[in-house]
Amino acid sequence: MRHLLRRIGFYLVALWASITLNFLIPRLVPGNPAQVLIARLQGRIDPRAEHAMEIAFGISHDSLWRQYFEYLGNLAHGNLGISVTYFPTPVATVIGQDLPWTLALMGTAVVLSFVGGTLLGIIVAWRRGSRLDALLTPALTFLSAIPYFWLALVMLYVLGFVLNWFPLSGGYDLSTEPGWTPAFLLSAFQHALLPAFTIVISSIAGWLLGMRNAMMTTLSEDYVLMAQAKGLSQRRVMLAYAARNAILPNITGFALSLGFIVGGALLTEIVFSYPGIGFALLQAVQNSDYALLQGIFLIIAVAVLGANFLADLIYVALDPRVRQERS
Amino acid sequence: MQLNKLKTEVGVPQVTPQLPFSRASVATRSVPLHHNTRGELQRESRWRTGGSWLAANPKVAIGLGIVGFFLLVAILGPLIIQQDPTALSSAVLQPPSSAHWLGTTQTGQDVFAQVVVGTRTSLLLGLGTGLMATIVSVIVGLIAGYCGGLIDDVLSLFINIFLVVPAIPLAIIMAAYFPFRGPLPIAIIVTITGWAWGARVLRAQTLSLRRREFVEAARASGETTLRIIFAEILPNEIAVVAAGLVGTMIYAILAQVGLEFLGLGDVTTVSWGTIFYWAQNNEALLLGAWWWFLAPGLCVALLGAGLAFINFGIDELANPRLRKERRAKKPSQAKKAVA
Amino acid sequence: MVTEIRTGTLLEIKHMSVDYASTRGSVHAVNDVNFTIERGQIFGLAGESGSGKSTLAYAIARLLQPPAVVTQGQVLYYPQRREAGETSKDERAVDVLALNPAQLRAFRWRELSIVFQSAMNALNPVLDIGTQITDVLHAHDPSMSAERARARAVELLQMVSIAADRLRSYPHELSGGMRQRAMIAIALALSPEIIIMDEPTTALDVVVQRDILAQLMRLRHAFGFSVIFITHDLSLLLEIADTIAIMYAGRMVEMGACKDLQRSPRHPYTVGLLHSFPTLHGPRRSLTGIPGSPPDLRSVPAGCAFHPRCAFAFTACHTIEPTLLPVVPPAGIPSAGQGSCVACHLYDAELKPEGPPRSLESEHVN
Repeated sequence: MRHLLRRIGFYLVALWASITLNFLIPRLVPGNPAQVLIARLQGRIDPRAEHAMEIAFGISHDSLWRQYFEYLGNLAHGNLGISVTYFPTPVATVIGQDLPWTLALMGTAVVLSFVGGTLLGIIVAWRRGSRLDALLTPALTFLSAIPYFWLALVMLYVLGFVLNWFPLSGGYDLSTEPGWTPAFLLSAFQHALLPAFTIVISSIAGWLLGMRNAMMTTLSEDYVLMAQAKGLSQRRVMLAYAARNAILPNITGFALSLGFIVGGALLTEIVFSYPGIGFALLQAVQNSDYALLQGIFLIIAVAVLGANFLADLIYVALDPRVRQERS
Repeated sequence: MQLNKLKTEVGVPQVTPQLPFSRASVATRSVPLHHNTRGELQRESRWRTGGSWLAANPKVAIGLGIVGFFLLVAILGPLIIQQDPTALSSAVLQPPSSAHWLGTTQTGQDVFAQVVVGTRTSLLLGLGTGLMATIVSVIVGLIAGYCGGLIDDVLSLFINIFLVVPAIPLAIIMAAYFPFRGPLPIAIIVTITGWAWGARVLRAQTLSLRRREFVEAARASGETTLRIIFAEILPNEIAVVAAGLVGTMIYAILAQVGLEFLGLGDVTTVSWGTIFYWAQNNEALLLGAWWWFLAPGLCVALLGAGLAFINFGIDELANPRLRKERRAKKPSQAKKAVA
Repeated sequence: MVTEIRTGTLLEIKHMSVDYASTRGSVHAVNDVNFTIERGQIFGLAGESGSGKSTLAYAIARLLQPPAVVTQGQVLYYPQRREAGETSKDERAVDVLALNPAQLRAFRWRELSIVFQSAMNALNPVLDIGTQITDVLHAHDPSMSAERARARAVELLQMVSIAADRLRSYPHELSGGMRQRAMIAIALALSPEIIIMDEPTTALDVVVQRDILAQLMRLRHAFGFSVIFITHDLSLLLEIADTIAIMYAGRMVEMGACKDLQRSPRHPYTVGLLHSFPTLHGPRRSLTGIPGSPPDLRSVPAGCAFHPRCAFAFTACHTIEPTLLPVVPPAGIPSAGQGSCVACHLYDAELKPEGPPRSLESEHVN
């Protein structure tokens, strides 16, 4: 229990750090590109919104502390500023529209990738030294080094452009009406297949190799030997004795690499012009839409922290040793 | 580094360095390093062992070969390519031909020239940034692991925060705010986002080494803390550091290319990432100009894979359990002793 | 309840040799070892690190991992029908090394179980003790109900004086001694005929050690299983073993009944070992160790592996490898040394007709 409380405490601190980073970054660099932006918008937005934006961007004539607390206050009200790209839509609305797409795509892709990679890793480790291992491992190492967006480009080109098996862009067929209709859902599914496939292929190698290595280390432990000496079935030894222990470092690894995978997935979305957060990110960068940029970063940070916390919970559930806090 | 001075013994806990992004696993349990590994390397001549070891580990040999090839291109490339890679011409969007080995861009620039010249920039930035991030992670990780107490708590908090906050989005936002674009901002940003992982691994390693007798002995004989950390403990962690260095380099290259792809690098320079940027910006895909983005991506992937293979080798060297079993010739009536 | 300890051969090891294959040639970890274990016997296997005793035991249980390979040998197991009152031995011996995977799985733990050296490493850290007992019960008898398995687990824990409420405890929640006792409980789960104990008490302090050994003897007395007890601590074996075998550099150099070995150790190595620790009573002696250290198994000395460290080595020892030969009882005492053997040229009538030197003979430890 104490362990859990410590972890919660940590995540709160990390959350605070993300928010503060978000606040500080515009202020850390000399000169402020946001200033130009504000000048451009003058007269076109509500003075209160303008003031909030100034604070978010780091332009303000108040003291730093004052600005900080105003910023925190704005956040608490869900006020992330006004987007320049989608003017005059508030950033929160833009993110609210795009986030579900990203969650659906990335959520399923990452889970599939992790589960698939882990299972395959167990199998490959069990058949260590076999042809499967010798072929798969270098192939996957190569695969894991490929930048996400390049793989996306290649996939898109070959499977979409040349072979025309998949749609080239967007999240759904623009001729269909958005809504919970079968036609829309089918179209959404079709459009999500290729990006999801790309993300899975890029990230599965990591899990597979990680699980494989963890399994190989675990398989040489004494308790696996004892399990074999007990005459237990191959399956039980592999799953309950080896995999159950080997998966622990993998779960930690999952939490840690999530940030990187999210980054890669965002770039994939950009390539596919998928209407998720990634695409919004690109727009934000290209249009110097700082409010949107900061809003997206915050949401991503919160999501990743949340996923990390979840992984922590799962770890505690699986490893009885951490439940006892040892000073 | 003198191998003779290494004090590793059987039972030294070692963390198998794993990349969170390319192999997605940070082994938090320790694994013994076998005495024989270092002993073996000492006993025979280094060259002979090196050669035969390479032959037995084709992955590592390939990895070294690939990285060596790119280094060569980086050094010699711009000298061999006579033409200016940014020179415009009228041969617009030509597929690969004898005149333009990798075709041309929207503005008639030769893609092959760009890729070759860009290698130097990309490699320098990638490898250099990886080195910088590793240095930071070594310093932070070792100090946190050795000193313990409040220093460790504070540094650990830093490490964990930087680990948990997503790296690439943070890099994007930092790059967007930087007043100017170029290699320097990218180097700084990639270092800031990439040091935490190595630091965590090294901290764990140092924590377990700290209690070993040779550290006690050094402390008792009055060595200064700094000397103990960097002259006694660090040499024992060289394998972990090396693997971390290679892993961080992979991250640095991918992050750098990613940032440049978004246009956050200096789009006027020629590097692999900026080639991507221009390709994407000019709708290369929809125009069917596959040659434009195929080559730079392939280069990144190959280089990354080469580095990853080298990492494999370091891993297997440090952790014998991962080695492929090399079965010596068995006598004909040998029975399998294992079920 | 005391079960009559049945006599008869249980396990016969013939010409067992184990090599560790490496790219630079094989290392002979175990070299042509032969011995027999009777039912209900405690067989002690003593030797320094690297003598091959653990490798030998693991080879018998077929638990060697690559690069270890059994190059020759047979492990003949004589199963006995378990009907109560029936004592006729089933003459069909089974070569454990030749069992197919299904037979091996059935053989494992039911006939032969192992207690590993480090309980912390040998117990699965993420499963509780109860599960680690019941899963072996279920593996060998899938029809067993959960309640019965649980009841049996409780019974086993109580046998080793662990409270029943510890069923749900994880290994890291138990003390060192408790863990080792839990290991013994697991080893007894299927009432095996023979238990291999690999340095079971080495990692524990002497008080706990005594406790566990006492418990072991009680259980052995109650259930009649045999034990192969591996240790480097000869003094321990002198207290509990029936037969003791000494291993050096992969070979068995002496074997004999405990009392006989204690009273008249024959091999110079054994003599050295016995003189390496003091006795509680008897005249005061200065402790002598054995000069030198065990050989690197990759370059074992020619002839007798012990000759560089032996004070009594002569010319034959440098060239001819001694084999384990039965001891010839000295004239006048035909019962002395019955069943003992030693691999030493000093006792080879052909090579040294005059017999071992007086100084060796007079090293009788009372």
